[in-house]
Amino acid sequence: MIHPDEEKLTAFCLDLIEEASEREQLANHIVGCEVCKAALGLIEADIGLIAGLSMPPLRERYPIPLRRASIGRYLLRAAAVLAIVVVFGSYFVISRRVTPVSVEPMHLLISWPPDSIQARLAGAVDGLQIKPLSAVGSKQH
Amino acid sequence: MFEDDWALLQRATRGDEAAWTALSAKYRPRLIGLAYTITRSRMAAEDVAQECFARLLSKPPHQSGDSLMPFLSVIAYRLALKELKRSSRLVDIAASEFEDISSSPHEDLVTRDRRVAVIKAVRALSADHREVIALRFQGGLSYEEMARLLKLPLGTVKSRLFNAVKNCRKLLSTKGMIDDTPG
Repeated sequence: MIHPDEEKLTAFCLDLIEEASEREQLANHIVGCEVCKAALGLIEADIGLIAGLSMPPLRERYPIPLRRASIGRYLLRAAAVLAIVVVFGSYFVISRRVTPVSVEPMHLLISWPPDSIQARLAGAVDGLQIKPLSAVGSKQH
Repeated sequence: MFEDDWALLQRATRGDEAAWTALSAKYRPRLIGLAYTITRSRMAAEDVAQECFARLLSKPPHQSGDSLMPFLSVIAYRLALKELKRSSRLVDIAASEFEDISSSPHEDLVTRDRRVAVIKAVRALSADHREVIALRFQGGLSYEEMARLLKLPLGTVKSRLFNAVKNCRKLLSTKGMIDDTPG
């Protein structure tokens, strides 16, 4: 049998060869072949290292509060509430300042036209002579 | 004689501290390893492991199988994914945290270097590859369990794991950490 390549050995090591006869043939070869046995040993060692990956328990040395992530969430909520208060507070303060300013145009409108013009208009109205429509119509014809 | 997981859990839920410590000692390193492989953050991995145990106490699973690991692995995987999404918006202040891996007094320098290289290689893998490595090796899930959890066809899970290991070894060989010429 030709030596199986690294990919085949990796698949064997990961139990990924589905066909039972192929698996058995490969196993038989590896048992009797020092080269393949050594190659498989290297692959197994790496997989063993990958499988054994674990971090030391840091918390024992540096105590960290439970559910660290939730502190962030509380802070976020507090910031959101604060933002809402600031926005609404600013709105009320600004709207209270604007109210007296909006009265001034009304005042200007009431005082328009000025007194002198008003007096002249009043005089013109006094000088008008109102005639009945029938009289106006008979003169034209 | 070793007490089985379910008996330990039963005692732990009744407030037995020794049972709790035994469960923690048995599963905590593997859960941290699983979460670390996915999140690449030690702090996040610590949080995930702690949350797993909190959930184990608050909602103990119904007895099935010999080990609690499949149950804990699924919780750890889901929590790790959440942490990964959350941490992607943050700056990792512990980028070099894997450098100070504490080794046992018996571990020689070569083994330690190799272990650090493997951790770096796994960190360099894609998220999909890290995920299958974590579930298979640290989580101890079967290919069928992984397929169900990841909602992927069985063949995809197998080929993904194969490629993950292959890429990891490729990274190690480019750094001269593995010898591809046996004999």
